[in-house]
Amino acid sequence: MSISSESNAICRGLDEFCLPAVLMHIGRDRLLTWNRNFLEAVGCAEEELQALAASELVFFGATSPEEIAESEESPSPIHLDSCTIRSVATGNMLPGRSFRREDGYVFVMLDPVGIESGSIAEAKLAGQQLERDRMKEALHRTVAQQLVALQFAVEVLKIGLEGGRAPTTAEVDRLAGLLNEMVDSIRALTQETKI
Amino acid sequence: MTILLIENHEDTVTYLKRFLEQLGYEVVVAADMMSAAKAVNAHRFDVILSDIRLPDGDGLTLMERIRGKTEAYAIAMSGLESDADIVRSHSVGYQDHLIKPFTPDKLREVLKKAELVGTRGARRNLHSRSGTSDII
Repeated sequence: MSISSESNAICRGLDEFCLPAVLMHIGRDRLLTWNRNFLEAVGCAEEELQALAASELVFFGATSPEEIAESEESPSPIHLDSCTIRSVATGNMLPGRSFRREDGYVFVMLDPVGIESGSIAEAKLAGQQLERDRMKEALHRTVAQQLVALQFAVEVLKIGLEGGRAPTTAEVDRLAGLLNEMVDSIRALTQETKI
Repeated sequence: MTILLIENHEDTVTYLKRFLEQLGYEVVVAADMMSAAKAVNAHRFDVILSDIRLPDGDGLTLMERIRGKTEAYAIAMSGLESDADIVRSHSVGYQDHLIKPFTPDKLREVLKKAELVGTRGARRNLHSRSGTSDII
């Protein structure tokens, strides 16, 4: 598994905790992968973020002397630092933490969003609620609508058959099309829930 | 009987309309709040079957605006709503609330209720006009 796909999985997992997270590479000056909370925190679209240089968004430093000492004493090849991330939407600087590897990969995590107390337990609950709401919305927008159409399409054909009218090839094709669209929607939703 | 079907999901409109026509209803379709309000001003409907989510607003606001202009039996259709949403849909004037996905049998059942209420209403009006008791 590459660092990018591992980080992608971690980023998506951190969404559950309302934690915005991003993986970047200092040398390439690029953001490599991020989660939904990060997009919300910086207030920009996926495409917009892809076009931005990492140095336009993430600023390192402001680490306390204790943290520097702790980082230098640590035998770990990971350097811990505090950082700030510029919100594209508001220009506000958001506080976070960065974990830098010697090969230039940096994992950045912002403070939890939308959580007043900042406790992890509350963050987790809020994250789960957000996810539930999002899934509910996605289910209604896609599968529930398609199911209604499909149920009534079948009923229309059934009533037709009862009245001695055989369905046309086009009608059966449309039915198969509706089923395929629903399978695609379910597959897409299942994919989204995988970490 | 005439039904105003207010829904913007293309496939749902196609098959719901055909289903209702097979049941013998005359169906007028409106894809948004504005055209639904226009339709209510222009025609008399026996039943209004409206999605709660509309591209230019919601079915609750629509019902608040049109309730005074129509006596149609109003049925709301929505996704996974909470009890509070259902209470709200009744308070603005919907008599029934269907949660998507609902079955054709469920819709038939609600439409039967609508027909019954419509018949009672017509009989009540007849009695009122002839000066007889309002009790059926």
